[in-house]
Amino acid sequence: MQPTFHLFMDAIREHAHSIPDSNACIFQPRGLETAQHITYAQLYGAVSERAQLLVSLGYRDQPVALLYPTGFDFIINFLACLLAGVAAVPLNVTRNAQQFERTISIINNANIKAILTTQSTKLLLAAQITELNSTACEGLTWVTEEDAVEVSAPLPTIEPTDTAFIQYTSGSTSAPKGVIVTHTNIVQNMEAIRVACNHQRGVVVGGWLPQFHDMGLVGHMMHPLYMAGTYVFMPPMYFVQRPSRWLRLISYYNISCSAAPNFGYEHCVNFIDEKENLSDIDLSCWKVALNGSEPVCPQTIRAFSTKFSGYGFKPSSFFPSYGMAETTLLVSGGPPQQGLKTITLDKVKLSRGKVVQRTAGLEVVDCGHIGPDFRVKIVNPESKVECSQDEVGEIWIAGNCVAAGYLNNAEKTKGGFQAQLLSDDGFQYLRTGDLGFVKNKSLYVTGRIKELLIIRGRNFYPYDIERTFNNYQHANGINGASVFTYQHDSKIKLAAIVEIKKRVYNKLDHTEIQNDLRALVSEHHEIAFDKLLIVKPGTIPKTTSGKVKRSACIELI
Amino acid sequence: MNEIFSKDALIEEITNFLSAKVEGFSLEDHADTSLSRLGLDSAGHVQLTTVIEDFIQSDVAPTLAFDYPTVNSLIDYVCDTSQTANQVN
Repeated sequence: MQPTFHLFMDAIREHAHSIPDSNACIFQPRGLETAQHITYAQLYGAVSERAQLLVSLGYRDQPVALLYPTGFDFIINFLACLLAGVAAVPLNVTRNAQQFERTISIINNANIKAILTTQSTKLLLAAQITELNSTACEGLTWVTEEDAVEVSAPLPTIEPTDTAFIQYTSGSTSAPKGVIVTHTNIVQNMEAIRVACNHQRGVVVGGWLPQFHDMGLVGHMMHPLYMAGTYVFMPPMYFVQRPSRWLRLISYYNISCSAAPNFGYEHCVNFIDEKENLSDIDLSCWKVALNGSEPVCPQTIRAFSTKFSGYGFKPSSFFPSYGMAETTLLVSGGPPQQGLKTITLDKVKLSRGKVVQRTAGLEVVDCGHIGPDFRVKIVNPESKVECSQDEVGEIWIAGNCVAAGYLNNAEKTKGGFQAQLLSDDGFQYLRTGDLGFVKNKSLYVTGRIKELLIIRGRNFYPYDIERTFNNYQHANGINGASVFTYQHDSKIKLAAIVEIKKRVYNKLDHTEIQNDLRALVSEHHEIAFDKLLIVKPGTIPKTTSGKVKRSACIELI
Repeated sequence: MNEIFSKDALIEEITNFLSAKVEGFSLEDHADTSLSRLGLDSAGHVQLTTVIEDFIQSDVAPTLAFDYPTVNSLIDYVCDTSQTANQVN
């Protein structure tokens, strides 16, 4: 696809000339009265000034960390890096010690020599570094709002293949990896999103997603700016605190596209109280309710639709999608207004890698049409032979949105980004590590290879069984179950831990609860557990975003 | 924070919330124990701030329970930055 603009910053420059007084970004840190606006002319002016500073400091082609709280500073400095040919590395400002250690490990991994931040964040971070007693940050240069350019430096010419930014993947279970996203990757993915969502010039996009996260950065922030639209945003924690604020933001600013991982929608279902007054909210403007970046759960989509259709939300706006940092962002989604579409598969056949539709079985979500510029293959991960149409295999992707590799990691780049089919078709593919299949141009994702459980020759996806446990009447629910394997006498055994509501846990006979659970999984999945532990709520180890840490569960049994 | 409220009633609200969330919580034993040590997860920390918001009818930072991680420090902070009935009387 021929993008409208050669480079992302060409678009911003053009909008600053053609619509200088239009709002490029609106940030609402708290209530309505706190909202701040920045026009395209102001944005481009601030970005150019900052870019000249970065060039004069000699950071061209260097990786530079961006550590900003949610706000305009992040946008200006990120875009300044694009304009100055500096490789931006967006990172999370956190007060959590464990997450901060991850930030330090990224600074080391990317060989970062300079940090762009605010003066107040610098003080906060300096205190954390002292507390850690780490020498890792010695010799780092801090660049804040107090640094300003004195002599104007000419901006460099950027080539489409140059590195634009480095997106570190969440890496909750492995060491963080920095995905190298090029300038051409960005504009190609902007076009892929435009086509998938049918976005028009001037589109209003936004929500609460963190700016350092791929979906928040590429989907919420960059896309509307590319489209001469408006990026509207709020701090993520204010959403977590009171999820109705997200819906109010969408309603007030007429946001037509807002995205969240499944848990965002679930958070609204669980934590927006029936008593809360939502009479001022009208969600009829919300045309694309994108659900992506973690498995899409049909039950959540239905519950959200039921709860909020009275406030103008149209269930057809749901937009399940598939994508990742390694493909810049979006791979599949849409067409718009399709809503939730699922197919039901025979569980036993699926556990043997076969796609067979049934009236009852496992419901799999249609993650939308694959973008026209992607070449997607479903491949047997061991033999590297392309699967037949009715088989599940690893999702392999080629195309202009696929990133250049992992920073400073030749081994993972080779294994992850340069895979070839056994019948070499001349393409190099990204191995996603996800399993799925393609049907009628749509992508269906069934699970992660690493999490696939192989029990007595059958394949199981832990979250399908966990969902069954979570639906048990006495289960605590909300990621309150963990299914995993362990080794005993060199044999692979299957185990589960299920959190039970506190009052029931204290009152009912535990054997009775365990028998109920065993009967339930046997009925739904035809499988027996070697070990089934029931525990009180809060026992199962989870990541900071609430995902179950299956590997850490082994220690509990 | 303009509303005038009773410190005791705020303590009661927080105690009710924690008793529902944390097994065996008692104000007497745990007023100075860190909330994470009591087993309150991060979502629980944020939810606690909404309990306080609803009670004092004013916005508080979502990170408040991380910054003031015990019942006593939390209550002291809220009362220091607001007008309580106890102070007014």
